Amino acid sequence: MTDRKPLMTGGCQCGAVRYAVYVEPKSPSVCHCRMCQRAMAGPFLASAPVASDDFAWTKGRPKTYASSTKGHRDFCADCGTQLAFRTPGSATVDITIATLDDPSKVKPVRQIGMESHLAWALELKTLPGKTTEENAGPEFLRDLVSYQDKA
Amino acid sequence: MTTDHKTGGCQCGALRFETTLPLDAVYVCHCRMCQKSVGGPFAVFTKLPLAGFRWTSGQPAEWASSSLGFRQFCGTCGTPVGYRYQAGEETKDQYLTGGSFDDFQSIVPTVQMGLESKTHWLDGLPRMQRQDFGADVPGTIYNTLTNYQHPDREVDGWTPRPLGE
Repeated sequence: MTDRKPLMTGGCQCGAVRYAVYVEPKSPSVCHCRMCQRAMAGPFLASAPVASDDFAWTKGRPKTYASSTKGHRDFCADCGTQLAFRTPGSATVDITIATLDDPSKVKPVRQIGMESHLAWALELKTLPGKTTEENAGPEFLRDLVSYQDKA
Repeated sequence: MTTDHKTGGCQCGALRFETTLPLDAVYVCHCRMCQKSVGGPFAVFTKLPLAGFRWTSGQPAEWASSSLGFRQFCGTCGTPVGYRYQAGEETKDQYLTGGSFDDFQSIVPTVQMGLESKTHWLDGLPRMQRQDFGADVPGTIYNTLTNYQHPDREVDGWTPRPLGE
């Protein structure tokens, strides 16, 4: 695996856990199911499936929680970032798109778990909004020292 | 129990909390730090005065994502549960992720921020192909699994399920 060139890399917020993806993910999805909502503490999980052979943890290892008999969720024990979802016995790793260093490279093409979707999550563009600077002011960004992994 | 009483916690149930004061406005934050923290395209947060908040089970793990404060999560299952500032007036408030409330239906954002890093495909969600869970999976996985997550209500004597690979 080490001699392959990653197509994409990613990791958790603190940088203790890093991973590499060697192929284009197939059929990325948004899952609104109640289990993904609880795991993410948000309205849905946005993830991209990759064959385990085309994926590698390159730094550190995640901690795993079994949310059901069909779901193992990998997260960073140091900072909590949710990194991946796996079904035990399956040769697929579903990585969280937001933890890619460049998440704009992967776009979901389907939504599942619609039975528990929250209406507002599909209509975000109707909400009034601001940038961080508009909301908090330039001093906020000037004074903030980010400890987030710079990768 | 007043109408301001709400409960919540992490997915595994090791962390549980209750709130007894009205919540501040619920907001969505798209900033890159919130994205990385929750592993999603945005975080949903609200806050309330500490006087109306307590952990009823467990204590969160914490990581300082910046000089401003700490991201709070469950050390057993990773769920991002809250945030606290480390100095200033804001230390009087407890921030909580919207999705960690048992009644997530009642936590509706009214404003969004961090638009500089908003994920490009979010506005396409209304038109993206939709399926109920498992509709595309033979044998419908959702009907054959055993759910280990904490129920969306208080449960006496709940013990998080340990990992069994």
